[in-house]
Parts: sequence; C-alpha cells; structure tokens
Amino acid sequence: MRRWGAALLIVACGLPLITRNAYHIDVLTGAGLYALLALGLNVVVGFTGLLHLGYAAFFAIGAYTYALLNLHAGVPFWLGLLPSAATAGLCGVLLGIPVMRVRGDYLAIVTLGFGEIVRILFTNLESWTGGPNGLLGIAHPTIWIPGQGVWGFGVRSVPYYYLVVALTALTAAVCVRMNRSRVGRAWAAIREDEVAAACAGIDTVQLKLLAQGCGAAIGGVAGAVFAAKQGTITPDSFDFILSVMVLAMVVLGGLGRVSGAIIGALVLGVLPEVLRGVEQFRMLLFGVVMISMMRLCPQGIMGALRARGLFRSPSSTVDAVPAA
Amino acid sequence: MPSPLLEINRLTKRFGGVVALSEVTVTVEAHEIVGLIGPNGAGKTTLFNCITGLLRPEEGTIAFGRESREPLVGLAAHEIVQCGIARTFQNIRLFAHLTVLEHVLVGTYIRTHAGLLSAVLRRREARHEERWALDRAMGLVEEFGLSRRAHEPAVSLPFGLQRRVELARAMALEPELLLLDEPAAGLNPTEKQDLLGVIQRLRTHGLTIVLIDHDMRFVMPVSDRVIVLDYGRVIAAGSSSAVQNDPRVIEAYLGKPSTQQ
Repeated sequence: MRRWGAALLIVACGLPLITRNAYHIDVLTGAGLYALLALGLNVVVGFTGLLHLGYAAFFAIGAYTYALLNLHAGVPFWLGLLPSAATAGLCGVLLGIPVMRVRGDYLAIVTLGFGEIVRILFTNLESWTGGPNGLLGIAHPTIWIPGQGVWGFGVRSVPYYYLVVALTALTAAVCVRMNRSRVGRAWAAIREDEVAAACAGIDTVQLKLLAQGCGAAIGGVAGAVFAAKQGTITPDSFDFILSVMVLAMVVLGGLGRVSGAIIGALVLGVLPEVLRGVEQFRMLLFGVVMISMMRLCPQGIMGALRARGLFRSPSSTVDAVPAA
Repeated sequence: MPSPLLEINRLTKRFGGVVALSEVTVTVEAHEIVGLIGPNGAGKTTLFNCITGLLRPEEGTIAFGRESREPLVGLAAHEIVQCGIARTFQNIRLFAHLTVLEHVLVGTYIRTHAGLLSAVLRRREARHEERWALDRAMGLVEEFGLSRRAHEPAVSLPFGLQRRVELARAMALEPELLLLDEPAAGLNPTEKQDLLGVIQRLRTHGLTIVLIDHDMRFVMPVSDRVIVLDYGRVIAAGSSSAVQNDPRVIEAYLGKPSTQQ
C-alpha cells in the first residue's frame, strides 16, 4: 500500500511538468483540498463511526480564522495554519461535548444543525465577517527563496497545487499512523461496539472527543489553505452541499480507509469537470455514477479492490512488520 | 478470614415499575469461582451490568478490591475495568471487521499509555509499547488456541472460537475478577468441555470468577459456591450440593421440567 501511495505522490508531483494548463492544475488543486477534507472527515466517520453532516463548518472556521488573523493582525499564512487548525479542532471538541449522548441518525441531525448555525453566524456577524459579502484581500502565501528573496504565490495555480499535494500527503501519513496506534484501535472498537469498547477499558467519551478534535483540525487546515488561495471568502462557500459531498467522497472511497478518502475525493472532485462536455446532463450523470457505485460496491472503491485481493494487508490497525 | 474481593450490599435496580434486583447482598472471596444461577429473567445479567457500570442501581453499594475498597457505583464502565474487573457478554460482543489479534490488542489499551502524538511521530516509547502490546496479544492468542486464526476477522470464526476471542480480550485487561455471562450458551458438548478446561486453567492463575449459567450441570462442577437468584432476590447460596437440595431452589428452578431434562 505504501508503494502505491509513493507512486501516486510521484505522479502528482510530476503532473504540472506534463500539463501547463492552469485550469487542469486548478481542478486538481480543488480535488486535493477535497482530499484533505475527506481525510479529516474520515477520522470522525470512518475511524470512529460518528456520522457527521456539518463538516463544512470546520472548513469555514479554519478559513475565517486565518482570514481574520491576517486582515487584523497581519499574520502570514504559514503562521496562520496553526491557529486555524487549533480553532477548528477546539470547535470540534466543543461540539462533541453536547452530542456525546446521541448516535447515528440523531448525531447526523445535530451536526447538520451545527453546520448550518456556523454558516448563518458567518453570514450575520457582519461587523466581523463582512456578512454575505465575506472577507476580501486575504494575503496569499509567500515563501523565502535563498538568493531570490520573498516570493509570493499570488494567483498562480502551480504553487497552490504543490502546497495541497504536500499537505495531503502529510495528512495521509499522519492518518495512517493514527489508525495503526492503540488510539486507532480504540476508535475502531468504539465504531463497532461502544458498550464492548467501554467494557474493554476504553474511555469512550475522551476518545470520541479526540477523534472529533483531530478531524475538525484537519478541516481547519484545509480552510486556511482555501482562504489563502482564494484571497476572498464568503459564507456560501461552506454550505451543506459541501458537507454532503465530502461525506460522499469518504463513503465512495471506502469508509475508514485513508487511501479511500483520497481516491474518493479525486474521483468526485474531478468528475464534475470531466462531465462539463455534456452540459446540462452533468449533474445527472454524476448522480448516476454515485448510485451505481453504491449499488455495485457498497464498501467503496478501496473496499472493493481489497475484496478482490488487491492492496491486501492482514489487518488495518496493526503494522505488517512491527518495528523492532 | 480473608476479606471479600467483591462485596455487594442491598443492591436494588428498578426498570420503571419492575424490580429487577431487590436488596441483593452477595460477597465473593478472592480466588473463588462462584456460579450465579437462576431462571430466565431472575436478574443475573442485570447484576453483572450493575457491577460493570452499564447500569446504575437505585440503592445499595458495590465495593471491590482487596486492600483499598473501591466503591463501584457511579463509576464509568472503563473506570471499573481499571479497578480490575473484566467481563464477557451473553450475546458475544465482538468488533466486526477487526481481526482476532486486533481484538486482543484492544484489550491491551489500558496497559499502554502512548498518546496520539507519540504514535504519529513514532517516538521510541510508542514503538516499544506497540511491540510489547503485540507480543502480549500474540501470547494470549496462542494461550487461547487462536494462533492459526489470528489474522482473520473474529466474527468469521465458529461460535466456540468467538467465545474464546472474547475471553482472550477480557484476559488482556489483566483482571482480578472475571465475570462470565453464560459462557456456555450456544456451545456444543465438546466446546463446553473445552471451556471448562479454560476456566479451570484461569483459576490456577489466581483469578476470581463469577459465572452465570442456567445449565446447572455446567455450573456445579466448576463452582466452589453457587448463588441462586429468582425474581431479583437471592434465594439460596452455598455449596453445590446444599443449593441443589434447597427446597426453595427446587421450587423456583429445579422443579421446572423444562430446565431439568
């Protein structure tokens, strides 16, 4: 599996050398941002089994955190990443406390409400967030190159592409390691049977909050990248449809699988653009693809591949070769 | 006279108007195997659920531990596990999708301490701990005769082996007291014999065991003492033979032809 991940990363790094088309790079950058979001949501829904329908809220919180810090305090992008992740993570934990006792469908409804509340708050807190007009003039990232001085990302597409690829690869590696730890196994136990997990000595409250915090923090990072790339953010970028799309990516790729979250995001992130040729049938075909995928392989793309003997590993939460 | 390991005093649990347990007083000595029997609905599992923190009793106390007497009522399930009590379930509760080895590894959770950050950074202590947990889990998997199936999903195993997975997971918690809720239910005669062997072996490790079953022929031979529940009350307690001849027990339980044949 690691080999396939490395291969995908090499291909991803090489792509801008092949295509100079800014539109292609931009679409892939968008898909990469989706991948980041899907990886974060996968921690909550896939690893721990907590159905979350308001995940876009953490994306929004991360984006607004960086935007406000940048506009009011001049905080540069790289420094803004941490508070964006921290604020979103904290909101994830805070939301986790009142919803601790609800599960499944009920949890989905509460989190859906949370997502809407955050979006509406950002729309109506006009003095802070600019209301429906959003925030403008957010600084793009800059890097310091030896001999060249400070170099801004500006509105070029390639630097953002590499930024997103790097962050996605890093996040994926972190997710794999989280999953293959005692905490990852405890999350899996909670997902499968919360009562049995508690009777195996697992503090389910603490671990569910930890999962929600980690998942939300990843969403916050994605939000900061989005704000820095766009330079402008408005509340309608963070609507319910986004939460549903990210959830669809996680499920389509294969719940609980890090590789699945990335594949799902690439497929669903690129597909609408590929289908642009058929104009008004675009979303119709998109729906058909999703329905047939779920009919034909309900365990998701990676789940189906594994069931056919590809990418098989003996167990997902234990390292194949334990470190000596 | 050693002080008891588990002391339950006047425990009452109600579900609405139904009194599931009524002033139940039970003590369990260290290293004892106690059979808890009674007809269906007598409150046996409810008593286990109260001890392990899944249910909160309305009245009464539960104290556990040899030196420090820990009051258990009000503690969360995972805190009670940390006190040294592990259990299995009447309807086996395994984690779907997890392999046999992973089940036992989940049991090592409370014996390990590496945080998420340590695990992500693969710090030395996290790697050592993971190695230790894996060795320990492998040892238990072998001890319970599951080595050949270690990497298979536990739910794909035959019923008898699933019971063993549950037992191995419970033993990974290194309990002082093990509560077995109908461990023989659904097992065929050979599997029951195997299970008896396992229970006898656990006792030689110094474990204290409380065992629920309604098959008296299964409970009697392994138990030092038998406690009989009926309608949420303790109606008899003592040695197997004394309980067997107790007229109240015969009336409540043994007298029923459906359970005697």
